[in-house]
Amino acid sequence: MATFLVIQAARFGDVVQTGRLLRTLARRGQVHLAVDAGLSALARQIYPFATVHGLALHGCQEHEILEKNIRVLAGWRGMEFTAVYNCNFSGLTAALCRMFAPETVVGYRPAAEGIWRSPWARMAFKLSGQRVLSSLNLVDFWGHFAHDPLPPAEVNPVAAPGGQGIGVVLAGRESRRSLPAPLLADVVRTAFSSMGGPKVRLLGSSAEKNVARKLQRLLPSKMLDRVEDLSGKTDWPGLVDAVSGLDALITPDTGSMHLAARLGVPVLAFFLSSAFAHETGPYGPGHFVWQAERHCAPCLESAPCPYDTACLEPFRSQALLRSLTLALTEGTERATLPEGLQLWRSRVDSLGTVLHLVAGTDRHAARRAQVREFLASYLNVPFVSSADDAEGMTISGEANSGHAWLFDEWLCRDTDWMLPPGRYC
Amino acid sequence: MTFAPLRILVVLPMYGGSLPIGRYCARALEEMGHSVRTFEAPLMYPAFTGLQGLELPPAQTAQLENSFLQVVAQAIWAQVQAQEPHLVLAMAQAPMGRSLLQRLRRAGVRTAMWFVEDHEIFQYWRAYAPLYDAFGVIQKQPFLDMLAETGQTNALYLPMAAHPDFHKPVALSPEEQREYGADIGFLGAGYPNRRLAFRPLLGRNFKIWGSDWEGENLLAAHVQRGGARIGEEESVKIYNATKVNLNLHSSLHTTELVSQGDFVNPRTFELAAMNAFQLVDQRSLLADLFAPDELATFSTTEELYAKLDYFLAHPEARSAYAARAQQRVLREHTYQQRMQRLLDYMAERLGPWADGGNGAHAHENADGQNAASGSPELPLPKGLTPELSAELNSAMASTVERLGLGPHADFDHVAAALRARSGVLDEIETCLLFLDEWRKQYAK
Repeated sequence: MATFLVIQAARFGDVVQTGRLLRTLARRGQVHLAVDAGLSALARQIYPFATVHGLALHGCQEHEILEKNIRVLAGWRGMEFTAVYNCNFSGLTAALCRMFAPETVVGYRPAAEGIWRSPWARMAFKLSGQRVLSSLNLVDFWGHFAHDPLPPAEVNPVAAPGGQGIGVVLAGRESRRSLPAPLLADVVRTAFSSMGGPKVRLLGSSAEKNVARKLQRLLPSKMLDRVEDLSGKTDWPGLVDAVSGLDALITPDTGSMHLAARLGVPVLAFFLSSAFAHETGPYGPGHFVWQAERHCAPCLESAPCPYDTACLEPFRSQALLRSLTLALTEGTERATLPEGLQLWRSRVDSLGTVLHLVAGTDRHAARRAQVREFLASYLNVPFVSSADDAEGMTISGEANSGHAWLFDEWLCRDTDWMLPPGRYC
Repeated sequence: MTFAPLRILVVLPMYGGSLPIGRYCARALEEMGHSVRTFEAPLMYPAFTGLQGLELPPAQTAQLENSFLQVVAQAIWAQVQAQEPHLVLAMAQAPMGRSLLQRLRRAGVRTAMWFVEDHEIFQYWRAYAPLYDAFGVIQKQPFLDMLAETGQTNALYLPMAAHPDFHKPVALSPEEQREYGADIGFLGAGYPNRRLAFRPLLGRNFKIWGSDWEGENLLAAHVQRGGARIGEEESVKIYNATKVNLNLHSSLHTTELVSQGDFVNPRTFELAAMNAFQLVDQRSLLADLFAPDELATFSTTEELYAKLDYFLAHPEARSAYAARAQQRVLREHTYQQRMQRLLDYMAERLGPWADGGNGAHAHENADGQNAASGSPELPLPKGLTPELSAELNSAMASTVERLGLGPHADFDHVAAALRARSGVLDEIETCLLFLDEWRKQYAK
């Protein structure tokens, strides 16, 4: 029987976003998953089919690295993995992969003084050169580490209300990517009214307790007896319980958002600054994302914003709250949004999850669609676009200039096809 | 259409399935009387693998790969300068980058690519097709329209072919018949559709040859030599030794095992040329190339299995199909015919081919601009008898052609080429070389 090891050394959200790859491999053999020890409990809960290996990776002492990891690595020594999927372009995981024959390592292989990237990983790096034109969800990027991955529709359940009220993720890891408390309060109040006054669960770590208190001060007093503040009170199983069965989750781009999508909870997400829904939006059909659209977006998370987070301004529009009401009630056909804000709904096509514009304008629709078709072709996936794609294209003011631009030095380099395919470099 | 012999440079790819096809093209063009040189990109391949083996940091390796391809392009350019070809014919995946193609265009050298690939799988044609003067393809619509959209309006349908001097019936020894022979045979890569389609043949007298069958545990006992790559010479023996050669076009998909695609693969023509019987899957472009009584076809796997049994039981039917297919290939589907079609098409679209000495030539100054070239000067000693002078001039001209030198080659070029040539020289060549040495010693 085939045995696979998947190394995912990144954060909470990344572990959840590795789901398509993991479920694909689970159909083909025994799956082992290596994650940061702090995420082991979560990984075991959402991937019960996998043998989870907790590694001392982040936020630990040097002696722990040796004490904990030696034991794990000793266990791997006798495993004879059919393939090892290294999901991270990272020296840490590359070092771990030195335990394995290079040809068994998929994704990122260790090299003498660096890391080899697979052709597919190189393609993704090239895409990042023009992020605004890419519509490759990270789940699908990792999913396609495996040949012929699980169909996108089978990765997460179709999002549907579960009767347990609204969840509110108080903030993301980067404050610049989160709605400030007054704006979040407006959003929560609007959703609360539109959904008939359900229970509201505030979700976050201990670091968000202050935000939770502030938010509650901003909410109408009649709401408060329906609000349960769970900030700092949930461990991983507790978080899974708290998110399971919600009617909707209001959130920035967070790990909890990916968890909700995994659990079939409809997501109402707000993406701004460096958060880009086409890359890291909620996976599977039926989620809504309000996305900032500005000449500088999506920006680099690590770079300071020279515009004082101007992409936040359109979120203050009353039109956003109206569109939220429409999304939760009669539908978004009549939704309108101010310049700088888009409303997207997630769907699946043959490549993976893709966003469909339901309000706002998208200058890049035609080119993004061409890039997506190109990616499908690159992966030898018969391309069947999601429903209503044509509608999304007509919204664009951008002329469809043929495919030639795709094959300039951005995506089509001499080395890509003159030298043997399939090589790592 | 007939025209004077042309100087043609065939640029081979470094690897892959279009490499032998490039060699067949070069041979066919030679047989047609043209002066042909091949750019042997496979010779450069060890340098590429060497780069990879140096274990340098990946970022540096990537830079070096780019530089490596630039060196390869410079080597092609050097060969162009030496040969001054009328045509540079590139096969799919040949290392002809954008800047080299632009340089050739500036120099007035005609270029063509024979893109013997599925345009949906290899998409780089979108970037490079407009840079060629002509573009041969093995698919029709919508590909031809798509090429026109990119700006390539000189695209022609040029289906695959066979090389009858190579793809021919061969007599096998009893040992060879035992080694290569089987009731059923398949030679090719283990694409997903083939794996699934062939599984019901498990346990029969069935040999699978070729690579990329790893992980196919069910058919493992049928895979010969552990899935080693089979050379062109051996493939002829295998095809000749097999009663029913399966020819199932590849597909990456497993939903439709018989993919009903358009283009016809080289194997179809090669098997036919060898008078070897094949069962080939139906393709939309097949009817243009072969009549129904020339090739036995199938459209479903059920039809494949049924016809397989029928033809195994009816050797006379196999022979009849094979004979008719062979006649058709020899009549219409040889590489010579394809190359003639390409040259004719280019003459129609781009104007007549220049005479041997009057073609465009790739003499560029250091700044890349064309430089005017004088008429060829092949100075021979004064005082020769007219007969000997004529004989030597004739020998010089034929030597120039045989060595693949351009019309602007002078005596020094001829001497240098003779010096570099391996093997024994004839008396005229030896005399010319001797004259060169003598001049070095005494003429200054």
